[in-house]
Amino acid sequence: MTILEARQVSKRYRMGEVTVHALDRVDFVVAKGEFVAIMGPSGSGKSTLLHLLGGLDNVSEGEITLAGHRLTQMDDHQVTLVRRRNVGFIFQFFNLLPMLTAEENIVLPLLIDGQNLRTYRDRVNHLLQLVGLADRRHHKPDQLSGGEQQRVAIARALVTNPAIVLADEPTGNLDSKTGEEILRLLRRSCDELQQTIVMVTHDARAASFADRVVFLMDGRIVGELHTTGNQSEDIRAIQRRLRESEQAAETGKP
Amino acid sequence: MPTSLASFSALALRNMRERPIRTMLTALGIVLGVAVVLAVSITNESTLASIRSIFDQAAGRADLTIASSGVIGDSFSDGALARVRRVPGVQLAFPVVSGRTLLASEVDKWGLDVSVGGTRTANDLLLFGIDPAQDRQVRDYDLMAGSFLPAVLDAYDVLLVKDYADDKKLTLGKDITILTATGQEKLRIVGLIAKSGPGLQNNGAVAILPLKTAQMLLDKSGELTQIDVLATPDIAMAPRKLEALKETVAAVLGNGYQVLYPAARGQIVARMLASYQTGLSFFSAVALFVGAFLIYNTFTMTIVERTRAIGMLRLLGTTRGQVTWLVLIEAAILGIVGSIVGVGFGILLARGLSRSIAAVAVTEISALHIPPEGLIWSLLVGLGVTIVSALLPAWRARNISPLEALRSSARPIGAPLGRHSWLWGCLLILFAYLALYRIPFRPEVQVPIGMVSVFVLLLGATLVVPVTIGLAERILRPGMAALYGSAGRLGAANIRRAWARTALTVGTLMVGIAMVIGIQTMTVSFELDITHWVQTAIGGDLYVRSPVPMREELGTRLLSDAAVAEVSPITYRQVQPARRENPGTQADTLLFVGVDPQTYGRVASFVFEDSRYDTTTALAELAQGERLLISATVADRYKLQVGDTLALETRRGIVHFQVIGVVVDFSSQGMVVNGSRADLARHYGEHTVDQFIVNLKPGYDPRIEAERLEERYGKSRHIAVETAADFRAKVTRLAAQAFALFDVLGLTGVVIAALGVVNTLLMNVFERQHEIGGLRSLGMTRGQVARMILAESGAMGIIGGAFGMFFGLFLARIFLLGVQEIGGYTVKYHLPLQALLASWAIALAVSQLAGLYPAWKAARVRIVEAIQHE
Ligand SMILES: Nc1ncnc2c1ncn2[C@@H]1O[C@H](COP(=O)(O)OP(=O)(O)OP(=O)(O)O)[C@@H](O)[C@H]1O
Ligand SMILES: [Mg+2]
Repeated sequence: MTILEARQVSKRYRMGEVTVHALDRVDFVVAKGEFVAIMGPSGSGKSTLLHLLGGLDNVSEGEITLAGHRLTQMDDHQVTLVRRRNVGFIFQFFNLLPMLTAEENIVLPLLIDGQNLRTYRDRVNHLLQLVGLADRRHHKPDQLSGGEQQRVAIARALVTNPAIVLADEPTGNLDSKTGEEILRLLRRSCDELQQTIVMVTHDARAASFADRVVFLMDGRIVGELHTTGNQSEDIRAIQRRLRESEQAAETGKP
Repeated sequence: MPTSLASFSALALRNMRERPIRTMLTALGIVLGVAVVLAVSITNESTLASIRSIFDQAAGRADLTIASSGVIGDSFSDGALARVRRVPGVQLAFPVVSGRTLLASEVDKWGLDVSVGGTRTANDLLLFGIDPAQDRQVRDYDLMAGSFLPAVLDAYDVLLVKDYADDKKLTLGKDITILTATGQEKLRIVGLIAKSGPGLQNNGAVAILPLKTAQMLLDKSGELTQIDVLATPDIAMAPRKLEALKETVAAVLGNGYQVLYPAARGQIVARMLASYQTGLSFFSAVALFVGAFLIYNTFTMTIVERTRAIGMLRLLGTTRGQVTWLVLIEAAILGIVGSIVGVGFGILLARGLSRSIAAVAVTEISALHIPPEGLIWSLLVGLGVTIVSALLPAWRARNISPLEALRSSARPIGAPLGRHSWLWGCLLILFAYLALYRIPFRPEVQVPIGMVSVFVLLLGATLVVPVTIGLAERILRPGMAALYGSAGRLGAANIRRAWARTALTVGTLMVGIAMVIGIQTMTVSFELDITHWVQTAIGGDLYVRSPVPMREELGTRLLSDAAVAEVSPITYRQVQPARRENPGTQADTLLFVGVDPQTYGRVASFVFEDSRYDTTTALAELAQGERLLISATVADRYKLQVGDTLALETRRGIVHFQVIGVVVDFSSQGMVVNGSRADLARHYGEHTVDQFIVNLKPGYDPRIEAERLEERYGKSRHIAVETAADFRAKVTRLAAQAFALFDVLGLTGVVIAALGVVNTLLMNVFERQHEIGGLRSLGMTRGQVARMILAESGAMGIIGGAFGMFFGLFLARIFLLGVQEIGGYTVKYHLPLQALLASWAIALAVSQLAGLYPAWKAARVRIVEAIQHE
């Protein structure tokens, strides 16, 4: 079942005289329960795509359908409501509210949605358990390490039981060991909670945790790879594909 | 979903708790604003009451007096009393019946005094019948012995003036026998009063007795000779409203009655109170506008500071509506708390203010009256102003994109109206300028428009400030470097970076300084004008006045006195402009001051608007008849220039007077024309004299001579002599006292501005912790960090001061406009150079003082923490 679909999506930025084609007629489909990684060199348009998928920005052209909602035909208010209930975000920088405790940061999306927190108590406890922060729930972000903060962000992304989690380089700011823990966590939520995840990364090792890797280049999708489950093999395959596409880009240019 | 909203709204509380100092400073701004508004409104009443009492001692408190349209002293039916009491705007109406009689013991001494009082008897006794239960609300009886009249209307009791009683050897508790229409009657002397207030009448030969008794003795049952009216306070203090009430009462009573201003009150100074009071209300309104602007500033800054956090909330699915709500909730909480504390503070402030006023006024201010509706009103105003001021920032917040949360460094928030906001700013300033100087709005709307202009002007100024910062900073940088070293250079450069915030801080300072300058200019101009007028126009050494009209012949007698050098008679007469020829001014009454062209120049001068005119020439022209010198206020109101004519209703129909000059005059609310006494006699049949201005020969002490003259002529001619110095001092003191309050207002403006600066700088420090940590890690010392912040605030202070000076002059214009439009005075604009420079110094000092805490805070930024968190 398709949960997210992008059709012929383009995004252009006008910078005075120059127009930057950040995305150029991208087609992209994610099925429910799938864990997809998006890879590509810096400036290839990964973050832009993620922002469009999550309804943070408007497309220049094309259609995006998220959990049955045509984002591209909605006004800001409607998109906001769809985002609130269907999308969880995780970013490189943890983006927690400094004045709230870990637990308060986690339930923030519920608060914003006007939910009765009491009915979510078990879910929140479960999530705290899942991310291993049960004993840190009353700590403020500045009392948590980077990895812990990112785990709070993951729990926050999962708390509304969203249709999809969008993660932009969630491990980019962490050391490899902590990064690995985060990736395991995402993998687990995919396996155990059937959570659909789209993750941007330029780390082949991180990408190997996904079911499928999509390669982006100068705003276009240039390839795709399904992982096998053998991690070291997958990593080598991904690295090879990256090199190939980079070379193709080099030679493709005049 | 009220519960969910409440929990989401709790975020607002959390925001405030997280930044206690900022929250406190913002709330303090609201507190001060509300406190000032409330304090002014409370003290306003009390102050006015006490100042009024100075005048009331002589003139009685009545705002209007009703008499028969025939000869004054004729009686009319007491049914008029009930009709007057029903007129809306009339608070109280007091019946009076008076008439003359004689003490039975003096019948043989009865004789006619032909020389002064016409056909009146020289030793008569004035019976003055009043309602004892009420009359003390309108007249002050200074009881010296015994007790006041019992509160019944038909007792045979009487009050006498102590001097009179002593003179006639009458004692307390004894009876007096008087002549009545039907024979003789006995009255019991129950009290003795001082020769002041009502005791001044008939030079002390007055018997105060209950109304019914007086009616009986005078054979005037069911009749009155006079009704004194107290208008409700709002009307009493607004000359135009009082004039309207006067017309209404006249219309209600119809023919056979005349409604007058009590003689002494229509004259000089009394009307000053009115403009003073309206001026104060005007300033509290302006203060409120300024407060609103500052609150707006603060909220905009908190939005700037929280851009990323708000973007984050948007990212998590917070709708624009919810963001707006969050900001407004915060505003509401601050508004409520600030207003409540502000009310408490305002009452304290009022207490202090009234105490200091009482000290100046040398009168006691009766217990502070705190009107409950005033309390509720200031609470609502504080809350309302806060929320309204937060609307624009809330709108900004609502437009923050969720992507804002993802930027690696906070992007400076854009100007509210885009890149060309300075153009908008210029437009707004232009609009304010036009509204103030160019477009001739109708007088009724001029003041509200002026107040709106204040707001528009300040808003425009804040929009323009940013484009000037780059240039200003380049000019200031070397100075800051010289003062604070290399850190100073860095600090100065900083103000260009967060220009949105800099603009707001500069704007805050600008407002404070502009307030000070505006108020200073206004008070200095007004005081200079009044002082000049007092010194020049209120000439002479002594004033000879009488409750009864005097004859010119007394002037000759006075002149023959060894001490007297010059005497000039003056006659006052209320006149009306011809209605047909001056549409729209139907309700006006002008005070025609009749001077004697031959002698006036020797005792006083006119103060001309145009310095080319002089008193001597003007008097020579007045002597030719049908010429007038009009006040600037009249010139303004009737659009008259020198050479035009002013048509006045006279006894002999409409007469056209030629305007030969425009003079400054603060008497009678500026509604004054000066002409010759000969004209008053010819056109109005007015031959009597209301006042003699007396100049003494060199070497005579006015105070001693005043007493001597009063002693010599007072007895037989019912005159009172006051020294001009006393009178001038009284006027000047009133003026000084009036302006003391304005200074308090200006000071509050500065304090609020200082709070604003502390607020902005603190936010600067909070937001730049990371950067400051970075600088410290690069080897910047704490001292250097502190100096950097001080240099930053210093630069803002100088720029803010410069802007404040510029816009303060605008504000001054608005203030003067307010005084003119409400009070009726045309005040000349005096540029207060000292105030300008002083306020610039204040701006600098305030910025440095306000920078101290943030500088200290910045110096204490922990390097590790600062660079750990992005
Ligand atoms: N707001 C913007 N205005 C103008 N150009 C932009 C904007 N955002 C992104 N771009 C441009 O669009 C292109 C794609 O940017 P994007 O952030 O999606 O790259 P990315 O693949 O996420 O790179 P990285 O791996 O460095 O994060 C880049 O060339 C970038 O310069
Ligand atoms: Mg990116």
